[in-house]
Amino acid sequence: MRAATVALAVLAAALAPGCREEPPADRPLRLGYFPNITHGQALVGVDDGTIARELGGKLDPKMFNAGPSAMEALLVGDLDASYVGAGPAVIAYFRSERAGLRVVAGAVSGGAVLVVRDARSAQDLAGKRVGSPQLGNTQDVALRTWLRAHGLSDRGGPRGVEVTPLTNADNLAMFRRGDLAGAWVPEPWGARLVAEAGGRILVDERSLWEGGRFPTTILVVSPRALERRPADVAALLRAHVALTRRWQADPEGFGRLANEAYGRRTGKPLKDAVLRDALSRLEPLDDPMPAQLARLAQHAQALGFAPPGDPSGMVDATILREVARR
Amino acid sequence: MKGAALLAGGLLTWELLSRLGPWPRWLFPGPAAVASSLVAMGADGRLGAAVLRSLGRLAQGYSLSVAIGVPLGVATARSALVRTAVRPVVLGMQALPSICWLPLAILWFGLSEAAILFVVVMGSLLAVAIGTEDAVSSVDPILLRAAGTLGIRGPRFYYGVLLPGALPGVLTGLKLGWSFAWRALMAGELLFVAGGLGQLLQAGRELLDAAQVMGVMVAIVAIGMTVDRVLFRVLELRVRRRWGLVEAAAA
Repeated sequence: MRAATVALAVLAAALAPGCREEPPADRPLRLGYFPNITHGQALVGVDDGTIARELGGKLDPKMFNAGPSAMEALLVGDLDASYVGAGPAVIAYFRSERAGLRVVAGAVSGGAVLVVRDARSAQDLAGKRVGSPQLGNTQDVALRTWLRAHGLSDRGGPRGVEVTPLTNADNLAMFRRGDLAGAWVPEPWGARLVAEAGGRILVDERSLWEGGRFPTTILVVSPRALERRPADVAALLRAHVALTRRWQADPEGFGRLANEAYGRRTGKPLKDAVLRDALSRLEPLDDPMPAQLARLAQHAQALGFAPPGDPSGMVDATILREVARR
Repeated sequence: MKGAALLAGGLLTWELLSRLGPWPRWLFPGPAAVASSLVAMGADGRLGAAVLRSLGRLAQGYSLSVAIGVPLGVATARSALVRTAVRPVVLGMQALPSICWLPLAILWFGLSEAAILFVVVMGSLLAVAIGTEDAVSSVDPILLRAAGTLGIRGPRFYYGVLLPGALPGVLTGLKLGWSFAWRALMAGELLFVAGGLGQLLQAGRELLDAAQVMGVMVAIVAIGMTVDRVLFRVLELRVRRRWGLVEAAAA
């Protein structure tokens, strides 16, 4: 009996996620982001020191390759804030019983396209395979919702489309090999599919949203950070707003800086023409767009990716409004 | 009776840990949440389709492993030349976890069924071959000598004397090969999207759905146990009875 108790205690200790030691308040703010053009503010802000300066040097940037792993880190307390796609953030919000994160600002709107080889309509894709960047990410949800709206299943079969989540690089390679009839991808991959694989844009996602705006990248923070270190969150938002304004004022110059930062991380900056094409479809925007996020949440819930729940508490723009007023 | 009580106690402890533990419940769901996730996956057909797909792959890969591994094992045991040439390679590669074959599989076969099959075959082939070799090497020499004296040669010797004599041992190799194939398959399916249980597991992770992850793990354990209990236990029992080993053990 005693052995069983000890074993149980050991097991419980080994399995204990999310009950980590509280980090001291003066430690660096841990900020997640991806090496992606749609994370332009993070790429430029980390590299030229804008974010660290606002935080008084207390910045610990962490690079991720995909939304789910960044959200895992945020939920278990390994991150304080993160730039992330709207899809994974919505899923993480509901999965954590609405306790795991708050959206404090938008970052980028637009910048997602369905590129096809030769299809002229949704019906032409029936029975074929279409790529998306990741199960449950913003583009994956958009693709499945769009297919269903056109009467097609997203689970394959003759009256459906086989949606295949692949990494962006694999989407490009498979599209080029002819293994994919299309791919719903974020920029710059849409531009690359067009320029390097002879694809054609069938749907620009901006055409599906009122006003042509929808959240692609957003800035989320953990409620713990929001509660215990609001000054640091405000500093992060000051930097974020400044970077967004710089991007809006000089899209070309800022895009070049973002591309250089992207090249430093991936070893391969984008060609000028691809970069210009990609940037033409996205828009830096610090508005967190709660209404559009709520709609995205409904889509994700309808697909069974997120548990049901009310999305109204997801956005907390109080600090953003204060920062923007100044 | 005692087993059922222990199981119920275990499930109860798990549920209580999940509800009362210091960690968030969605990160460590209890058996009720896991069961309802399993039911949901079963109801919308995802679980059934994944199980069929995984078992189909397993059947193909495993048959290939057996078809290559058993002759290879016999050859290694019977021919000094093959033994010198092949044995060190087989033993060496057995130390390689099957997942290590995956990068090569993707380079050679692309993101395809063939890539996963390749990983499954490489994962289980060597276990089957080594098991067969051991079994054949330890066949009672008196049997072999008697066969020689009676002038039994060629195919009749292999199918009538050697393989039946080695069968109990070969079966152990096959069983080991099966569990290796199962592991290799999960590794292969986890790495890219191609249906199957491994992918369902990965989907649970990507949607931060710990209940789904645990549900798929339960399904994997259940299938593994069923195959082991039903298929191999029955086969083993029949072989042992046929060879008079059951009675010997009982006595």
